[in-house]
Amino acid sequence: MDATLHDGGRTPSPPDNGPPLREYRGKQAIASMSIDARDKNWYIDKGFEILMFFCGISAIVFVVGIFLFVFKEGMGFILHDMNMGEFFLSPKWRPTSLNNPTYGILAMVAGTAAVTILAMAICLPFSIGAAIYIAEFATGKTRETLKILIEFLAAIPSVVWGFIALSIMNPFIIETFDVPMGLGVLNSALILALMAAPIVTSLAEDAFKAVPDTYREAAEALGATRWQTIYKVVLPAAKNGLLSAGLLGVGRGFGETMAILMASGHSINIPTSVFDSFRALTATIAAELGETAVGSPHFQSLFAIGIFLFFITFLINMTADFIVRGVHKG
Amino acid sequence: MVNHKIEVRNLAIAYGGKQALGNVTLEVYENEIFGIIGPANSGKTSFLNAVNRMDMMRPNMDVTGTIRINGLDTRSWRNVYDLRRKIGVVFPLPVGLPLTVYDNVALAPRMAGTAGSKNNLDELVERCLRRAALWDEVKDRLNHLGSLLSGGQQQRLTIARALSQSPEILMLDEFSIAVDPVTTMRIEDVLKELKSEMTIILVTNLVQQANRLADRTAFFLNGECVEIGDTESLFNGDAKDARTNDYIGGKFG
Repeated sequence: MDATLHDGGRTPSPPDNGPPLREYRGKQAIASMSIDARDKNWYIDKGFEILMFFCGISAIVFVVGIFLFVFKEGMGFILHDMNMGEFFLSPKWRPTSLNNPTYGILAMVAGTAAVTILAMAICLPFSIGAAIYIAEFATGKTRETLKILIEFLAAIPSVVWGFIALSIMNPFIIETFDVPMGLGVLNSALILALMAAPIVTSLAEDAFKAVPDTYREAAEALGATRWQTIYKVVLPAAKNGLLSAGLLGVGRGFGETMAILMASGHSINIPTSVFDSFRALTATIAAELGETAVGSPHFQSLFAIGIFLFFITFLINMTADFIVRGVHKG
Repeated sequence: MVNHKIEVRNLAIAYGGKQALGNVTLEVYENEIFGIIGPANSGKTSFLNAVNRMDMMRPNMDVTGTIRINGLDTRSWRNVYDLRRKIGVVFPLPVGLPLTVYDNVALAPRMAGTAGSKNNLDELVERCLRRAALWDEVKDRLNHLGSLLSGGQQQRLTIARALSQSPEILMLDEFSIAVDPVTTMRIEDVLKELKSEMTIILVTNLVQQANRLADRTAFFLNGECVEIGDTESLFNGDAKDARTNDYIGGKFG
């Protein structure tokens, strides 16, 4: 049978007495190979590849660098002065005591955790509700206006939030609840919730927007109401995005310093009611670092707190990662 | 006398003032497969969207004329969700919701509150999956995500989901676009069986698929319903309109 029949005549048959087929095709290929700009600019391509590689690993380099620096400073305290039991289990933070300095962070951990949990309990329902409204219901001008306002909320500096906590929330809480002082867990949690809300809202909205419309149409075609569509289909589909939004909020809660420093009252005790004053881990570092002698146990203990914060963040991210993977395995 | 399941009178659909489909008048009989053929952009999908009132979700879609289902005007249906529950829809691209295979099928009964006991629901899910010719492939992984099944499996999952609330009407919109030929044939067999229980509207751009399945076929072209007739006579060259003959004969489209 003729070769042309096999491949529809795309390959010309070799001429009679010509070289064998394979060699012929090879020559044909070289002759027909055209060199265009893409081939000449391969070194630009390579250059960009290397540049992108460095951009990619720079995050790792910075994280490792910061970790090493904090670790180096904190290690002296951890190895020499720290008593593990005291550090985690004692609520007494008395680094400046001359006779018997104690370094217990329990009160600060309890305060930070309490305010983060309360802030998220306030922030998440509102933020996710707002995100549902913006992504699923609002249209046109309402939507745009809301988005701009929420972004504006995110642009307020944290010291201004602290100012609001001191001058507006403080008297408000004193009057409303008839308590002697308005600075404490409730005040901080409200401020923190307001601060985290815009970011959580806009991340949650992105998560909803990433759910394909075909899912909504499929659900509506089954006779689902708007609410059922959102609750049964859109929310599960956006679960991962919402989780990362929530965890970013938690991260914000643990990491926020200035506003909490101003809203918390900054007194060391384990809060037992929402009106109690407390002291945050971050605020302690911010308030005391400038007043200690470099290299002293007190100085180094603040870095130990930094390492602890590092681990907490790491733990939160790992948890999120595992949850997300669990969702995928289904 | 045949029962008119769906009656469409002078239906016109426009998107933002631009007409997509005009002057459609037709009936779909109970327990038949009603094929709609025609090239892209001829208004087939718009027609389906008008039937189950998905125009409510699209602010710029204007529907005029009347569509009656069981003799009732769809616009007089106060509860549009109730209307949609009577109509199962299968989309061109399979939509496996990001839930487990089981939950995909159980979604509608659960939303309706008719799921009943766990046993009942298990039975219903198995029955729907069997009827969609999918059970044997997924029975060991009902807890896997439906959106991770292959395209052909997802399309059958969509059909199982549509069947889960025993619809009176099943609308399929070019279901075989993303499905391999073997799966297509299996779904076609499923449709032939389902015909005895429900009315099926089959929109397809495969002319031969309409020939194989449909009892009657309508030909849509450029937003106009050119011709409606018995599939047999249309495909035997008895079409009244020359354009129908040309399309079926493969001269264009």
